[in-house]
Amino acid sequence: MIRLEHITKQFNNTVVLRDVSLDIPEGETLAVIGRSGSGKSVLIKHAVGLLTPDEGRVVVDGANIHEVSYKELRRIRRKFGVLFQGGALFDSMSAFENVAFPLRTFTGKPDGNIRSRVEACLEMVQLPDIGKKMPSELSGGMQKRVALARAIALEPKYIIYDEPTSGLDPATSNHIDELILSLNERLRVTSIVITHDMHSVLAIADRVAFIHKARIAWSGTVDDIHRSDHKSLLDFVRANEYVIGEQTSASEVSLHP
Amino acid sequence: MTYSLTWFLRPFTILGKYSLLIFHAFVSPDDFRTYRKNTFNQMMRIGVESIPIVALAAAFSGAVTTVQVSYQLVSVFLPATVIGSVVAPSMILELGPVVTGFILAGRVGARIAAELGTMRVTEQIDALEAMGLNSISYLIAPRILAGIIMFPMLYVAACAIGIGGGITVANLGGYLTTQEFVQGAQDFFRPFDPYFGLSKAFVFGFIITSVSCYMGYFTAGGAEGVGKSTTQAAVMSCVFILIADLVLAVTLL
Amino acid sequence: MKHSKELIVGLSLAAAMVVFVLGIRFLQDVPLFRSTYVLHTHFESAGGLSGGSPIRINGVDVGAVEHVRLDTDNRVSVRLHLDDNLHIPEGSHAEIGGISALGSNYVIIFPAPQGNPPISDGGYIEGVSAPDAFEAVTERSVRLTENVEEALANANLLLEDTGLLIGETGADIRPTLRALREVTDALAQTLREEQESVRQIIGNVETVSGDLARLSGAGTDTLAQTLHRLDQITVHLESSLQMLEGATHNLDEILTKINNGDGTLARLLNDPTLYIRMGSTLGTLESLLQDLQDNPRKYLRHMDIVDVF
Repeated sequence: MIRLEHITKQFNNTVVLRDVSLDIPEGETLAVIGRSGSGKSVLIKHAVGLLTPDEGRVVVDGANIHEVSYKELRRIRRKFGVLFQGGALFDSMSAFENVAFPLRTFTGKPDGNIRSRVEACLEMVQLPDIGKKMPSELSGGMQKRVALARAIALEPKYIIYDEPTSGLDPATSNHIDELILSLNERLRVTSIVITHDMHSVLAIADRVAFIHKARIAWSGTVDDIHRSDHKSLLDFVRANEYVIGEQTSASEVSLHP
Repeated sequence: MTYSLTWFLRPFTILGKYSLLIFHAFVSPDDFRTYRKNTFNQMMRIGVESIPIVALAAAFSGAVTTVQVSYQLVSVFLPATVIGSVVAPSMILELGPVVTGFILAGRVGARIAAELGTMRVTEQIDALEAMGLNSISYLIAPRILAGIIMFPMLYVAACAIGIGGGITVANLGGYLTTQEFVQGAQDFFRPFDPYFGLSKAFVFGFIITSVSCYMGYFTAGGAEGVGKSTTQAAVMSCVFILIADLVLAVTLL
Repeated sequence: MKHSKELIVGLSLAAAMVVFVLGIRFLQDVPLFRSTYVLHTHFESAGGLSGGSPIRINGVDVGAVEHVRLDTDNRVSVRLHLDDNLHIPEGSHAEIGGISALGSNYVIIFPAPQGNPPISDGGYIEGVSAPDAFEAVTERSVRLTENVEEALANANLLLEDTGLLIGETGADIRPTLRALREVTDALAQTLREEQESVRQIIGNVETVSGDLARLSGAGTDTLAQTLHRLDQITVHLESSLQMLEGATHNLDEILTKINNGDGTLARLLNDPTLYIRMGSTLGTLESLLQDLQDNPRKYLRHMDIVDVF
């Protein structure tokens, strides 16, 4: 259970988030949508305590993460898997080592177990043979998939995805969406997905929060979106659907499963 | 707070931020085991891989000092051994640590700042933190440790190679023989000198690695920010080396 | 090669440690691997001796001072590292040589005859505190000035007497003049002798210039200056000597005239030239005296070589 309560954050006198409150119950997938630069990434950085809000608090499993000790905070963070927007792979390590890194650091399992787990994770993101490659040798989309493999390696309770499908081809996007869905269903993972890809949202989200002008301008279930009369939200969704309409028919299929 | 007050307090803010960074780097012993491998990697990069450039710089500074001392000091009154008496202590006290320090401020300092700066702007540091690692300890402690362990090693190498370079040039240029050089070096040798030089190297190692870590860790502003941090790391390391050099000389000599 | 990184790092650190330790031993002139022959000694004053200072026997380097420490009773305890193959016989003694002002001090060991049993490793060798070369020079110059001043003070006393006698007509001036001449001779003799000793001092300084020569450029200049000043002193003494000799010559003339018979006291007193010459003789002596007494430190200052450094 992640609760964000009345978060306000400003950088250099620009208010990025104003009184933002969100509840993410166990097992639910929340999609946070909004235009670029609307503070979506800032929001998720608050959720894992990478940023401290000017006002408000973040409660994870009953603990206010800004009040606990740093050691306790790090223990809480280990429940999270975070997929960063650019992947954030460690560029001094190969893809395999990147995925193995959290396993080696926190589990102390023997090398054989770690190896099979890493291979399974890379298999899940459909990149089984790139273990030896360095991040610089991988395309942006591949880097992001390796980063996803790393985020799920420890089978976290919470996964935060920052733009998981941006920059990916539609087929891979679909695959990633399916992966997120299956993780949610199989492992009862609680997720926050930051995206502006409405196609993804419709595929994976239980609920949607729309951030506009530093506030949560709208929130509700996926089905509520089309019934909404919120102008900014509808503008956003329509712009997106237009783009989606241009894409392959494969995406249409999963729009209304 | 007025602008001028902020401006006046800024150096103290930076000092505080820097001190806290160093403090946090070493006050998290719980997962120190994980840093062992990193420390060896950094020792390799900061120390062993710097040997060639340090050796080159030391050999040349020893050689140049020898030639210049012979040019300046040799007269009928002074025997040739005086060159050894000047070159060896100069190398041990000042040139060894400072030349090593400057070379490594450029080589190691810039590298650390660029590495950490890139990690910062590509969210790799955030990724470490989000995984539940203490990114400060994980990234900074191994680098500082490697610095303070390997710099004295490089200092010893620089002194030995520098004096060797001096002797080589003395022989090749016909200034004085090896025996005269060694005799001169021995006559005015004080056993405290190498320990003083060693403490300088230790301090410089700490300065370069910690200042560069600070610059790199707090990089902001994308690729341009990385470039800025890299330059700043090299420049500030040199400045603080000079200041520390003077402070050590005043306090320990 | 899983441990290669650790191995390389470890090897380079170990190599640095070895180079550091051996380098210090090498520069201290302590044999790199062999053990050394250690002796203790005590001096009244270390005179600038420090760890690393060389030890010499007959001018040959045979080891180095390990450390110099102050004992609880304020005596200076010195530990000497000597070449292992040396055997210093019992009854040998050590002195501090070199010039402390220049920092080029060393320990000289004066070995006793080889027949004596050797001092065992870690044993004690007697330390004799010999005055430093420059201290000796300074001491000597003070003594010289004192001598000159004493002689001149005597002359002054006598001249005062002479003046008194000349004032009293009828008195026999001859013994006085004779006495005056004796004093002047003595003064001249003193100056001549001291001139010799100044030359000797200069000679001594020249012999220690071997040590001086190890100095930097600044040292060379001051050494040259020192020698130059010593020369000046000699010149100064020589001019004083000439003045005294001139005075003696005048007195001789007066005495000759008196001895020839035509030199009665009355005549002497009536002869204005003689009187004037007598006066000028006294004047010369007195101006020399005045000079020395008004500036009693003038000569000393010239001699105060230590100030130079």
